Amino acid sequence: MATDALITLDQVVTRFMLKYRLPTEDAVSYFEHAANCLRDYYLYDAPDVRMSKSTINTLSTNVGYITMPDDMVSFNGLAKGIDGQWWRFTEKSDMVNTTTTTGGVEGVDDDFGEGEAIEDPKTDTYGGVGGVNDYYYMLDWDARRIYTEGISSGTVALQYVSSGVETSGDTYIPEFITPLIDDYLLWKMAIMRGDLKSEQLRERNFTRSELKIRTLINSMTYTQWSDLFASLCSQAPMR
Amino acid sequence: MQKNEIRSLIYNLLPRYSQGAEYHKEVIDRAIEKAINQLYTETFLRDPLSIQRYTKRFGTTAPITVSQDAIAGIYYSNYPTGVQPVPLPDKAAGVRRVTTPAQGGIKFYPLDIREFELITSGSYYSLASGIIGYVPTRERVEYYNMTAAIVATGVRMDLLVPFSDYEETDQILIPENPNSEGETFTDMVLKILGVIRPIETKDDNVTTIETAKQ
Repeated sequence: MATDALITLDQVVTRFMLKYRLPTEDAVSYFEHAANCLRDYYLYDAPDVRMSKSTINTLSTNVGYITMPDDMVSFNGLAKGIDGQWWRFTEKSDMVNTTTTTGGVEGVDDDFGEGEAIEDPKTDTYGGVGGVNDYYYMLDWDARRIYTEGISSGTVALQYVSSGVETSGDTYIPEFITPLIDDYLLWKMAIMRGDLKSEQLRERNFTRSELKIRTLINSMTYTQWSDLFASLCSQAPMR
Repeated sequence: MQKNEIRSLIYNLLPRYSQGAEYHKEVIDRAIEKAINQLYTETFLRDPLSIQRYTKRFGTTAPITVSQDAIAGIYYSNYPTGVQPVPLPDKAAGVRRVTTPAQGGIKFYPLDIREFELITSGSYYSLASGIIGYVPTRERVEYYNMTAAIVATGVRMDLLVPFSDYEETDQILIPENPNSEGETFTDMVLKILGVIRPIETKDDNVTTIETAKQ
């Protein structure tokens, strides 16, 4: 049986020190840089989007909010499962996102427009304005909340990009990105040592590794290509 | 060689200026210690990984106790009694390795006190499990991320021990490579002692006592 496809970030750093005959003296720095590399990989390279079932905290009958997960570094989408498919929410950046706390309890002030339903100029006749949705969201990065409108309770699917580093328990990563992290660490080691010549060479090596991995993760399988061609064809009578 | 054999070697290599004139044992020991420490440092600077070979392991018979400094909120271990490790110029200093009695699993990495403070102020490293940081200080070894299980079992340590802290019959490993000036261990010790005049030492430097031949 082959080795595991997922390994811990700690294992990557340990193997790095083993491979390059490095003392454990700078293990802390290596670990920090490896975590940064992993975050960058998820942000810029990986197609991975973490799906999380998130509970909506009710503010009013129309409005609620979701607390962003601790590891969320970028937002990808909010959706509700309807008839086996995702119904995606639409961003409404000017949605009222303030709340009013009374007697230690967070709530909404109707007079200030808080918790009110968004009125869409909806019409089903010619000339009606398009781009309306039943569900809206508003990102509040400062409060690390996602406000929802159209749904104020229950559970929705939050799709986001994770920092990749778990806040509790081990952080598992795909084993095939080990060379990427190795090259990143070698590059950062050159910076720490002030070795400008090596720094440039190692940055180039890192870029090559990144391109190699992008090629791998973005390439399509035979079945995917086959499905793509098949989807572009239409049936016709054989003559 | 054993500690007493090393001392005897140096003693017998020293020139005799007169029948009663001898070097004080402590002076010889300190000269040997200084030369060995210098060789340890030079060996370490050439290849940091190789210095592990010259360490002595403590805590095999009875594990070294891990205690808690309740006021500071820090776990620590005292050095074995009578041992003050050689402070090499890296984070591990003279504490080259720390392990649990059962080998494997938990890893101990050396930290300096600056890193210790930065880690506790928030870092990715603080999220890693199965890793314990240790900071060798002058008085004790302090730990970061210590677990209750290890506090219960204690630890082992590989220490770089100075010559004077070894037992008389301990085997002491000395780097065989010459120093940067091409001098071997004995050359270095004799050079140090060469500028110190021998004195009569059989009765703690009292000059009126007859001395026996060695």
